Amino acid sequence: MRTVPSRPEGDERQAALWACIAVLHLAAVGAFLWTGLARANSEAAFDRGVRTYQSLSGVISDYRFFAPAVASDTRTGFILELRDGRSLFEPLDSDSLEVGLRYQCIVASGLRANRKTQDVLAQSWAAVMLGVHPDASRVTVVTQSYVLPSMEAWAAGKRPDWALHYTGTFGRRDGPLSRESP
Amino acid sequence: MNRVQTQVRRFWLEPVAPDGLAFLRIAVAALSLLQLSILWPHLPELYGNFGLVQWVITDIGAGDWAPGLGRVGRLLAPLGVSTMATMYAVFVLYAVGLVGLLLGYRTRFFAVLTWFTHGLTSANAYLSLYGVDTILHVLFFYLVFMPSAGRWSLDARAGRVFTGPTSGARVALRTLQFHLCFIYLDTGLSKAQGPQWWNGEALWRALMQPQFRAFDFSWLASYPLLAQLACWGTLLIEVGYAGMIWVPRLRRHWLVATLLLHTGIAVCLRLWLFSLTMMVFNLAAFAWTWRASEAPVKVEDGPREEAPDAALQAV
Repeated sequence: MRTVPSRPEGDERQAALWACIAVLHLAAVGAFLWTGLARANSEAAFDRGVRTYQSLSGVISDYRFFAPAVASDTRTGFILELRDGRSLFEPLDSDSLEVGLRYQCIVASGLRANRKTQDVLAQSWAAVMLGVHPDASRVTVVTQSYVLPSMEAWAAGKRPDWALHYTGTFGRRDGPLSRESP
Repeated sequence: MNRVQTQVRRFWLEPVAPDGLAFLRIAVAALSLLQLSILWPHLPELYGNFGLVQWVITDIGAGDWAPGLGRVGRLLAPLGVSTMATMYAVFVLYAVGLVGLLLGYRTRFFAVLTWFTHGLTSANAYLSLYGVDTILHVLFFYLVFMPSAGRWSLDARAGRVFTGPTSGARVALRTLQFHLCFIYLDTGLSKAQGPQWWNGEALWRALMQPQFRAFDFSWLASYPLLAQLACWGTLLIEVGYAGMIWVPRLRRHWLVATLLLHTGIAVCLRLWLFSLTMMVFNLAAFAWTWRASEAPVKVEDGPREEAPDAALQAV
């Protein structure tokens, strides 16, 4: 006959210990959110330890979704120059909403970064495109941001537009090198 | 023991049934499996070494000691294991962990496996992650420690775990509740600092961005007051959450308003997985115990107790 476990002995005492740990953890979460602790960027052991705890516990970033302002949408596309002289345009998008959101996050991360990081990211995307299209010799990465007029401007007849934010051309090592390549 | 100590003890240690935690375990595992099934065909480009963001880039940016796919890949490479094989192996282990959590089989072990593998994948894909991934990782971390197998699990059926109310479950619920309050307070206060949330432009911008657009909301430009009121309502719900959810008379209304807010985000901005995850988080943290607090608490190995009064059992 199966025996049903009874309430663990010392449950309350053990829970009290867990409660203390939980309070410390929540205090750390609060500190990550509202003090400069989470933004410590040094390589010192303490700061790396803090960042490690953040990564492990999931408090990787703040929870400022759509705050303090709603950022502009972005889009990225690739102009591929094929070896036979033709060119091809391929946007970075997906039929899957979930996948498309992740593409947007990658592009948005690039837009927030400095020019050097933007070049590194664009180079990474270009490498993927050159892998997908072995017949392409060069690829130009184009990133645009969405310029949405305010409600007042919209009511007055203004309409949204896409503004160019980044371009970079990348070639294969075995192909012709581009002057514009970063 | 003085009155304050009694209140604190009751607040943190009053035994509670594990139903809310079990619901959290099952719902989070189910949502994560759904998310994984959507992402599976795109794993190489989103998480692979030669995907849109190569591991060498994310490894440099990480700046911590937490293990990531890149580090595991480098460890296994001398053994002849390709980075692609490493990535798929980690995701297969993640899926196995999620199934274990869903079924509640050896729950603690599979909770650790899920949390660890999710951490590995997140470490090298943080540029592509958004709110749902952050919240899921928080919940996986908590599920490692929480007694979530006490209901609707194979462990409970096999008699491996205690299924009655425990103080451990109460501590777990309190942690979830406080963390949820922190989330809403942080997002609410941050929104309140931006003029877009006071003049209504935030809602307009969110609804009109191509990536979120579910319906044509251009008519909203003719009714800016409506957008402004909706923004103020969002601020009220989010900033007020941390306080009002603890007031017994307001709790039900605030919870319903919060769930409606997430329903609106899901329908109007198409952020279904994020909204469902937040709704599960809310329901597990507050709705389940609030429901249970209206019924007598049944202690399986002790005398039958009446539920403490509403003022003492805050939630």
